[in-house]
Amino acid sequence: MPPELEIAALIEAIAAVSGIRLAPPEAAAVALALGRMRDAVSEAMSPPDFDLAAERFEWLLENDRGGVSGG
Amino acid sequence: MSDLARLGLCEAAASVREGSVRAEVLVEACLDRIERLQPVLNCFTRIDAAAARQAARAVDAAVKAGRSLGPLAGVPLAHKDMFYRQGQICGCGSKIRRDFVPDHTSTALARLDAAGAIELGRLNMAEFAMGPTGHNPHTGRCRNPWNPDHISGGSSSGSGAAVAASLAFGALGSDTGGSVRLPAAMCGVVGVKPTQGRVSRYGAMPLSHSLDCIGVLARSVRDCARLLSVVAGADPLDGAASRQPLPDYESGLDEARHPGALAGLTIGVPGRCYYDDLDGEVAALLARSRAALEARGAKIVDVAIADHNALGELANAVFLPEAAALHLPWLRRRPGDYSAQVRARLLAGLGVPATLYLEARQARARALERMLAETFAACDVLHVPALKLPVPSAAETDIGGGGAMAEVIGRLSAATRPLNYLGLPGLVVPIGFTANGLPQAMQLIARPFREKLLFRVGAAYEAGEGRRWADRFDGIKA
Repeated sequence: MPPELEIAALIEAIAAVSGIRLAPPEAAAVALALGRMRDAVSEAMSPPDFDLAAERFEWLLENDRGGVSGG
Repeated sequence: MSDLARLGLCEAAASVREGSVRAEVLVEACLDRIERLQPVLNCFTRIDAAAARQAARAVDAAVKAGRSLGPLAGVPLAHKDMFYRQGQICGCGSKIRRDFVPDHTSTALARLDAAGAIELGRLNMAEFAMGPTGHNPHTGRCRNPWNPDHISGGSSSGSGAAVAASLAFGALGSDTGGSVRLPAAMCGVVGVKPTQGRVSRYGAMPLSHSLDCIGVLARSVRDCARLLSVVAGADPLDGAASRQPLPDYESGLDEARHPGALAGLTIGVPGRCYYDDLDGEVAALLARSRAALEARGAKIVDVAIADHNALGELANAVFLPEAAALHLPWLRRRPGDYSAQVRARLLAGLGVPATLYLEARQARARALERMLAETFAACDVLHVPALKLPVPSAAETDIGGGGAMAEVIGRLSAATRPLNYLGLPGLVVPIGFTANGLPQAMQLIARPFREKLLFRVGAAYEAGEGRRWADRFDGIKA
């Protein structure tokens, strides 16, 4: 999608969920940030894992028993 | 009188307990320094001198009467202005909440009260805890005690500056992307971001439910250990607070000061991310700190690590929509009451689709699993910078909400933000000064709930090379 159309679509999408209509420069900054986040998520979730629940994070924190020296 | 304000927190508590120093004298020593330095540093948003004096007199009466005292009895503290106290204004560094009076008291403050601590007042902070520099157009910029032309770091800006300048013996802060560790590093004090859930967040201003973490700042590792031992632990008022048993964080710290105290411990140095694009002076200070840890008996090894640079963006994909959702009512009704920078960052959160947010939370589990299985299979503690560059000046970082914003914020928090995403504990300890006269720090990271291990390593460093910075408070120019 051409950048100006992508920004226009972003303005409409944000207005639909929040009622806030961004100015085009604000939406352009959001689009830039969004691109960086999308790239990072895409990389981190490759390969995809259908069974991976976000709540596993808390489980890992609470149940970690590992360690090298036991210090 | 002012010299008493420069005692260590544990030393001050012991002096009050044994009756050699009155709590009221400690409070006056801090108030005296506050009166002289607040006009330069701007680290307080409110000073509660009368209440502090009254509380000190109550502690002195308890000492005289031989009543039992808490572990912080008579110790003057001050806290980031985002911890609610019933009936008292809690401004959150904002215009929107400048008259906000909470109807309940945060668990962290209630526990400090029960331990006998005295609150001197409220400390400056970034607007709604969003910003790593210390700039704040509503409350004014908090300045670095080492050089007021430089930033204090943020968002717990007042906490770092006040503790470094000995205006208070310790402070609460909050850390969503580095907000305890950055001001600690930039102001030359010790700061700890504990494991996610270690400290109750009840009554603390929320920013990101997944990443917010309450931490503490003080002038030594032991002082931080004392503060954390008071505020940490399960809380029936916060369902997200961990029920993990609370260790005695101070036990073993005397032994940690012995030569060879770190024998058997492996400290890992990641070969990528944290040490990429590192300033040369900072790299030299970090190398010296590693040599100091090795001299205390630790084995230093290179360890593999995933791409933690990407974790910063993943953290943003969690933090920004959560913050935007919290602020949505005000974004709709009072958009002009936010600074340009905070408003711009919140607006970015509105653009994150729900699926992207949820994928970023899924990826969090995967990233932590990998960190535990790979990196922490090869070491007990990870050694990384807290800040990859010398502390910048205020002018260099006064970028508002413009195009440079993302780059400057990203550069300052590059070494801290990944840890919030991973939920792991991190301890920041001063390691010296760059040529501009500003402090630098190392950041020590461990597995979940291993804060006690971090304190042990930090205390061992302080007893060796760290002694070189023991007189660091003499250098304050303010």
